[in-house]
Amino acid sequence: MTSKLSHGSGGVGFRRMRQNSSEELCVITDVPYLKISLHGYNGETAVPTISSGDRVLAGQLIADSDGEFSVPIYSGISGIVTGIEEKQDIYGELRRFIIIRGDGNNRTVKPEPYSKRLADSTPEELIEFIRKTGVVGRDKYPLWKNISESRGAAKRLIINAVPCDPDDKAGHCVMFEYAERMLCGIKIILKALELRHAVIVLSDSMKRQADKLESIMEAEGSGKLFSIAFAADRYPLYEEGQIINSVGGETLKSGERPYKTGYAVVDAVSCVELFASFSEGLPCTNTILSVGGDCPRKPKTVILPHGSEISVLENVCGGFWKKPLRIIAGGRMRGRVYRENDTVDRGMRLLQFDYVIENRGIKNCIRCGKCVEVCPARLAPVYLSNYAAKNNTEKCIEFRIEDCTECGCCSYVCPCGIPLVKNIRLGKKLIDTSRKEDETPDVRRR
Amino acid sequence: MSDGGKENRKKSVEEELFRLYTNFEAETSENEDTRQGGNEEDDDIFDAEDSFDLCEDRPDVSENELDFKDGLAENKPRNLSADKYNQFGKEAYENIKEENINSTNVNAGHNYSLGRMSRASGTADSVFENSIGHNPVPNNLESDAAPAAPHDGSSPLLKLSEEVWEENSGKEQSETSIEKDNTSERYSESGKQAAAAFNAETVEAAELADSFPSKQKSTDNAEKESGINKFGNKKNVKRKFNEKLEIKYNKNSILSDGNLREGEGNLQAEKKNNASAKEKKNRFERIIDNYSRSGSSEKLLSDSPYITAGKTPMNMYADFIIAAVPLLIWAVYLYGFRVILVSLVSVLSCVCFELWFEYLVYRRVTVQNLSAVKEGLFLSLLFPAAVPLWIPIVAAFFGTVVIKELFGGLGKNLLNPSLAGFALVSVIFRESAAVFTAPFSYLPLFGAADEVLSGMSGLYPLSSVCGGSLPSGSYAEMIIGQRAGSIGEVSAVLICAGLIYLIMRRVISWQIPISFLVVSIFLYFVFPRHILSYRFTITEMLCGMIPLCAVYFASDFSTAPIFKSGKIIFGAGCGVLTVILRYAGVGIYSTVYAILVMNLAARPIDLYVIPFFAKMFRSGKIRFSRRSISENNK
Repeated sequence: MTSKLSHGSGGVGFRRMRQNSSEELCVITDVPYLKISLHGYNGETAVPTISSGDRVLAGQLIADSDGEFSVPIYSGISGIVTGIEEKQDIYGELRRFIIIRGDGNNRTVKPEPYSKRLADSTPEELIEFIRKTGVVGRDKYPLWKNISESRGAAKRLIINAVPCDPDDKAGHCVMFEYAERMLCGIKIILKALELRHAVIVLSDSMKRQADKLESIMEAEGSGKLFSIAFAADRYPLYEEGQIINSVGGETLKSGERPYKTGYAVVDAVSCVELFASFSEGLPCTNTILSVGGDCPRKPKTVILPHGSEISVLENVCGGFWKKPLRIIAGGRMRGRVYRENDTVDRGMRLLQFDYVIENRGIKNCIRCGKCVEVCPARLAPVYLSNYAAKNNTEKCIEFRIEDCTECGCCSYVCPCGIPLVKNIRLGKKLIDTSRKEDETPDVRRR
Repeated sequence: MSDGGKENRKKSVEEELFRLYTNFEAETSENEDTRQGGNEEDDDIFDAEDSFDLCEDRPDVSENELDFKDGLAENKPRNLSADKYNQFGKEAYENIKEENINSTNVNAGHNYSLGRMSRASGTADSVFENSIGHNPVPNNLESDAAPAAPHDGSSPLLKLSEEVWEENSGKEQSETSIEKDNTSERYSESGKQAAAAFNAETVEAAELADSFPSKQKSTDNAEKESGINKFGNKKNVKRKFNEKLEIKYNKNSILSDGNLREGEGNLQAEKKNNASAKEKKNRFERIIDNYSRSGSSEKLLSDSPYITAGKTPMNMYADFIIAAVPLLIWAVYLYGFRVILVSLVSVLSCVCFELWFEYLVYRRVTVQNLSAVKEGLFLSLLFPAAVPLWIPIVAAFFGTVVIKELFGGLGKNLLNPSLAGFALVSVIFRESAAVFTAPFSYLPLFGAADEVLSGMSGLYPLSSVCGGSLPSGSYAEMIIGQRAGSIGEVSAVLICAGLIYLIMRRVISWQIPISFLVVSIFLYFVFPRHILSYRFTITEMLCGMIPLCAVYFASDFSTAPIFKSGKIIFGAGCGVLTVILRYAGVGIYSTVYAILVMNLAARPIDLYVIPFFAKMFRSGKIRFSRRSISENNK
């Protein structure tokens, strides 16, 4: 059963964006060392359970915490822990890393596959197991947290395979190569959520993947369990709010998790990772990463242990045409800049090595209104940015600045090169600080 | 001074970045070479440790695990690999397959071939082995990967940004006296570079980008610019910037060797021209403070999106010009080559006045984005072909200088410049501006127009309509445009073509012209000038300036609201005002005045009317119902 989703208002098409990527898959296991970040969702940092000098096996627990969004972290290779260090990242935030030097043997811990039958197991057990696998979503949001909070609240499961960038081929690749595993992973999640139906949202460029999924469903007879929906190849459709809006029509308020609207949204890649560790009995230590951008000669989709250095990818992709000037993780529209000796993080799905830096300078606004046309949240970015630049927080709130998801569509289409998104971020920060000041009682005023 | 062109600037910035990058690479590689000895020792130690049996160190490893390890004696890819999947995946898969709700349909004998499932990873492994070999990491990477110094910044951007960070958090360290004097300045410069690198964060960065026009290296520049320096400030800033960079990158060598000569020379050069640079520095520091006030330097660095759609204002104004060209050609066919002369004069005068004023007030030149050309061309569309040539010049002066530039330049004008200029002229020089000639009565290019014009009063159809009598001429003539009138207004067909072109190119949105036309047609039908005589209605719609102004002037985006609903209100207001003004006897140019009045209302509509309605919608009085696929699947 397939259907075509209407894309909501706004957004930009992929057609005009640069593209250099492929669905060719490549597995890397031998990395000389890992530098595993302990940083999780919402700034939570895991506590190391090993100390410097210890020997670790692949799949061994190295860090854990009891925080709300905590996920156990496992080593991807076997070797020796050479240090636990703190380092500033490019944005000036302190991050903790565990550094593991590999011995090249790749010895694993004893695998413990899920022993019970799925029909006999309770959702609590499954969630417990999912937490143990350490699978995280696209923005490092833990899968177990996503499922446990959606359990009961969510009436429908959405499997999100929409790419965030034309270069984002991780979903394409996974859908085709590991289609069966993905369906099995969805079944596990359905069981954990106690639901009976999942909508798999593909993008228009995934016809091949849809055919394969349908043939498998036919063979299994699980056609009633899944339905496939096609979303347009537009930019912010991969966001949870957008995808819920186009599937069900509900609007997700800013800052809310999708279960509030009765939907659970799960990344397609994490379904595959979940089933892989479910069947193998080894925790998820790998990321599925599509490597693209201007520089790689042979772009690929790579499976490699998280914590490995980004510079490893140069050789995997057949070298670079030119030295990359900017490395972006998470798409050119809203990604973050990384350095060459930074490491591949958990939840990273796309890495782009860019040489072309588009810089057109800032001109006066000509009020063309394109930013209003493309805004998926139906805001007026011109006015928001103007007011934010003038520190006018009242007007910012009146124009609903907090509904902005910072998708970047407005800055993308702006013919005058105005940094709209940046000004809006500034405005949001200003509002946050002013609210904090209001909350704290001011003694001097009395 | 000219802008240097978009491409040129872009290129130069890229080259500068690339140069920085490579320079820095060269420096860091030396450091790495010196470090390699230590690394090798580390490797030896590590190998020695590695030769110990793993089990002796670790009592917690069970016997089962040992067995398992023996099974995995060959070094194979572990996760998601073919072998492992076959070993453990089968049971789990069978397990889950039974979970299907409609598993009654499942053929029990259907054995899922796990080979098929794991085929993908198998091929991937082979590809991987073919392309990279057994060890995918080359030797040089291993040396790089020494955990002793994993963050020895290989990117200059990083280093710069770190320094900006340090500056913000107040970790600035005082070194020598000379250094101390210049640390803040250096940091601010490096911050500039970081900003320039990350997509022109600020206006300063954009100006900095302007100041990179030449491709010479810094030393060459310093020699060259010791001579005559016409454009003093900008180039000096550039030279200073290059010198600073050199100081920064050679800092270690200068300080350790005690060889301060180069550094001193550079510093002296800085002092010569720091008067203008200090101002810039202060402005930039203020902006940095703005960002650091809000929490972290993330604001400065994470400037997503990193790409742009590639449209510039020039593209949009060029589309306007293209849409206006057919009207001009038709007018040449009707009235002769004097049309070209009139439009040339108005275009040239608009461009010249704008250039002159922008140089006068040191504003960035905006002529190259064709906005002035568009305004001049559109101004000429409003005049009849026989207009005296000094009248467009007066209108251009009023439009560009008074209406546009005095209000802050392109995009900040409250009124449409060409319409405002024309309105002024049409009021002051009422008689000489409205000289309409019959079609195919070709005028001489210069002078001697009076003889031709003597017998041509009262030809304009709309003026006779306003007088209460119907003009002669069929509907077909009105639609195709064989009549007396202004240059642009005569052909309704070509105006429609222009409307379609502009909407297809997404330069204008359909809301303003369509609502304008629909509302005015509706009003003319409901309240015709003479009851039950719809010939008046059609004549008034086709023969006046309504089509031209609705498509080309009311839809000008810088003087219209930006919200879609606001645009509909704007267009409807234009229509209503036009009809009212015509019935009130304002005359043939009431469309122009109606649009000018609504131009003034554009910003209030954006800021007050639309938020008011939005509040009503949000309060829940009216709700949109959207179709959903959830009903289908339930």
